[in-house]
Amino acid sequence: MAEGQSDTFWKSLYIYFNEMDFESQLFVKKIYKIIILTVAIISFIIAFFLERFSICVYSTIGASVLCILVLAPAWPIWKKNQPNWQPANWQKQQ
Amino acid sequence: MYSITARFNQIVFFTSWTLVVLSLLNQGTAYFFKTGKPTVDLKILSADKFHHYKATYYNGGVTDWDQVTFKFSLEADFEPVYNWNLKQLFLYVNVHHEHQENGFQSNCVIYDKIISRPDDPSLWSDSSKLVLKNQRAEYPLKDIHKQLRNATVNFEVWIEVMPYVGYIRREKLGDFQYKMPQQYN
Repeated sequence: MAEGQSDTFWKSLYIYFNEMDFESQLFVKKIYKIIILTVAIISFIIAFFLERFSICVYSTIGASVLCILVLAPAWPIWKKNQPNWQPANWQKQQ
Repeated sequence: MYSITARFNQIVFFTSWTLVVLSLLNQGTAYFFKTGKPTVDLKILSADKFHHYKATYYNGGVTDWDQVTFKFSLEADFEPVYNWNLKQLFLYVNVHHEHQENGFQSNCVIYDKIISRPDDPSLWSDSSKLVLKNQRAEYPLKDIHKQLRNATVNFEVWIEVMPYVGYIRREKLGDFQYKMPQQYN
């Protein structure tokens, strides 16, 4: 990125959703497994007693879609703990 | 976890793995439910259109055979086979015929039907009972050796059990004997 240029709208949108803190990356890595496993085990037990396996499959897929919508893009909630970036020094590059 | 595609990838494939494990558990626990042998009763009502047929090929050759269309009534109860792993049952009626002179054996399917299991367990007792009255067979029984007159044929009722997860197996539910008429009608 040289001085004077700027990204297009779609590229800056992609960069916005792509960058996430390191602290929240660790948190997301831990929590998606916990959510999906909990939903899978509880819905399997419920479906076993109601004798309908479709309950288990649909609820697991629904939990994974929820995780994708909340955990995969970098929403502002996952950008709380930014590291201390140094200010950009354009004159050194020229 | 450093990019959006990496996070998306990890969530999607972790979900796929859990679904694989749950499917295997589904198949494994299906045997804890009640199992037993379904009951079936088949009555042959009539043997229609029992003729000696002849056909000519376009190049001049001639072929001839015996052909008969059956009418039967069938009553069956599949409740002992239903469990949460079952997707559908494929029921077919097979005619087994052994020629007296040569010892040839022939099998011919004359009727088939697909029975799906409804997802709601309260509807199982409705859909698991099958009653067919005066049902005409879909496919005729043909014999190119023309030895169907006065022969003893064996009607077998088979069932093919198709689960959601697991192996497909076939079971024979019953054997019923029938004597063909002496002459063509």
